[in-house]
Amino acid sequence: MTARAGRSFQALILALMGLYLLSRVWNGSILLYINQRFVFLVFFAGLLFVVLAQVLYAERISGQGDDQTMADNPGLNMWWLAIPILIGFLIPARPLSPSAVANRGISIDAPLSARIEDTASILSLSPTERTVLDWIRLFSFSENVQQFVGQPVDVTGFVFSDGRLTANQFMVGRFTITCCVADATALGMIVEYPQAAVLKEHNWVRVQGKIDLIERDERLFPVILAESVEAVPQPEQPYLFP
Amino acid sequence: MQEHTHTASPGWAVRLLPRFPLFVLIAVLMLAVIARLQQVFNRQGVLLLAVVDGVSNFSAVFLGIFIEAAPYLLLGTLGSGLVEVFFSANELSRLLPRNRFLAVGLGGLLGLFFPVCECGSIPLARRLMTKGIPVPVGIAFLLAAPVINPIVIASTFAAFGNTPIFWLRFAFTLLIAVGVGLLFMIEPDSTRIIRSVNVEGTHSFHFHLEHENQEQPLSLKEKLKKIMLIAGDEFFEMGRFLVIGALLAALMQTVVPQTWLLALGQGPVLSVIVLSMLAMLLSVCSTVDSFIALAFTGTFSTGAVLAFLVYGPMVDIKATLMYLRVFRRRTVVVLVILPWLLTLVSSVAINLWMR
Repeated sequence: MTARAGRSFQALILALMGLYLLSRVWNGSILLYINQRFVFLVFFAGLLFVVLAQVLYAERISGQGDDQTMADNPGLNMWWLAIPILIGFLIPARPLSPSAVANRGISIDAPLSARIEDTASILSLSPTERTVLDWIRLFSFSENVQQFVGQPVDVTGFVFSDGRLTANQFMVGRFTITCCVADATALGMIVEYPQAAVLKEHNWVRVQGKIDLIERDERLFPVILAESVEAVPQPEQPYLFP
Repeated sequence: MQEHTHTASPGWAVRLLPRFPLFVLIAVLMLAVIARLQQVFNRQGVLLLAVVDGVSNFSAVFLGIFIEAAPYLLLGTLGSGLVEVFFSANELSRLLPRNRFLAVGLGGLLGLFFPVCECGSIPLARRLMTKGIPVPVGIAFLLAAPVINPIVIASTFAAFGNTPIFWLRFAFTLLIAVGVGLLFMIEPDSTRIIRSVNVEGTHSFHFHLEHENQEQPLSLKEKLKKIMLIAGDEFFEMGRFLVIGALLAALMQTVVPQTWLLALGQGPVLSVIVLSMLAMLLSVCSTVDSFIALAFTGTFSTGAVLAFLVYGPMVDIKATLMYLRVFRRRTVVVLVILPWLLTLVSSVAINLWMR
C-alpha cells in the first residue's frame, strides 16, 4: 500500500467513524451505550473525526514528498479500527439484555454514592413517578423510611428471580449506567406477588402497588406489595442514569 | 506486508498482532449474521436466543467501552501533536526543576494540567519522553495522570466524599507512580526502556519536523495541519490497542460471571488480589471507576477497594497493550508487576491497620 492509498484509507475509516458517532447521537441510540452526560463529548469527537478525515484526505497528495511508504506501517493494522465501525453498523443496536444480570449480579442497595445524598429532588416527585433507582436511593439516604410505607408505587423493569427470594416474590430490576455499558449495574426492588412463579424471567413488566418494608441483614429495604403486574414492551430507554 | 525486521525486535504481541485483524473481521461478520438470525427464526429456540443475547450484549459492551474511550484517546493524541508542534525539546526541559527527584515528583503531578485518562496519557507521555523529558518523569506522569487530574478528583469526591478512601487513593497513586519512576533512574540509556519510534516507522507519514523547524517557522495553519496529522497517525497506532482491549474486556464481561470472582475474594490479602485483578479485567475508564468501586464497598475490605482504584487506572488490558507499543518488553513487565506489588503491599497494610 502506498502512502497515498494509506492516507485515503485512514481518511475513509475516520470519516466513517465520525459519521457513525454522529448518526448515533442524531437518532438517540447513543444512549444505549453511554450515560447521557457524555453525549456532548461524543458529538464533538464525531465532528473532529470528520474534520480529521478531511485533513488526512487532503494530505494524501502533498504527503508523497515523504519517501517512506506504507511498508513500514503495515496496512493490515489499520483494519483494527474498522472493527468498531463494522460492529456498530452491522450488529443491530440493542440495549444490554436482562440476561446479563446472570453475569453481573443484582443489588437491592444503592451503590451510587457513599455520601448522604440530598433526597429533596426525589421527594418532590409524586410517588408514582419515581423509578426503581429513585426508590432505592430514597431508602438508602433517608433517615426515616417508615414515612414511605403505604405510598403508591408504579415502576417498570425486567423480571428477575433470585434464589434468596420466596415463591411469592420476584425482583423488578433496571440497569443503571454511570459511564458506559461496561459499568452497567443492575438494581432491583423486591415485589410481593402471589403469581410470581408464572412471570417469565427477563420480560418487562409494569408493577403497581404499595410500598412496605422488609428487613434484610439488619437493614430495611423497600418491598412492593403488588396490586397489578402487567407485561409491557421494553421501554425505549431501558437504562436509568444516576 | 513486511514488518519490523531489524535488531530492535518488537515484542511478541506486537509481532503477532498484524496477523489477527482479518480473522477478527470475519468473526465480526459471523456475529452480525447470528444477531440477524433471530429475526429470521422469529425468536424460536432457547439456545439460539441465548447466543443472540450473548452476541448483542458483547457488542453493546464493546461499543460502550470504545465510544467512551475514543474521544479521550483522540484528545490525548491531539495533545501529543500540540506538544510536538508548539514546544521544542529545549523549552520543555527548561520547565522542569533541576533536581531530578523533584522533577519526577512533578511528573506525578503533571496530570493536574493535562486532564487525560489512561488512553490519553500514553501517547502524551511518549511524546514528552521523545521530546527530551527524562524517562523517569515521563513514567511518573504516565502512571499518575489517569488518577491525579481534576476530572477524576471530582468524580472520586462525588463517589466517596471526604473519606479515607478518597485521600488514600491519591496518596498511594502518587507514591507508587513516583516510586516506579525513580526506579527507572538506574537505567540512564532511555533507548533500552522505550522502543524507538522512528525505526519502526510509526511516524512514517510525518514530515521530519525537526528539520523543517530549523529551516523556517511554520504558519499557524500549517501547524494546525501538522497537529491533525500527528493526531490521526497516533490515533491509528494506539486505537487498535483500544479496540483489542475493548474486545477482550467485553468478552470477559459476557463470558466470565463477575459473581465467581467476587465469591473468591474475602480476607485481607485475597480480597485485595481479587479486586486488583478485576480492575485489570474490567478496563473501565478512571473517570468513573470510583462509582463501580462503590458497589464493592459493602462486600469487600477497604484495602481491596483502594487497590481497585489505585491499580486499575495504571494497568488494565488496553493500557498494557498500548505499553507494549511504547516500551520495550522488559519495561512493560516492570510497569505491570511493580505497581501491582506496591498496590498489594500498601492495600494489605491498610487492611491490617484499619481493622
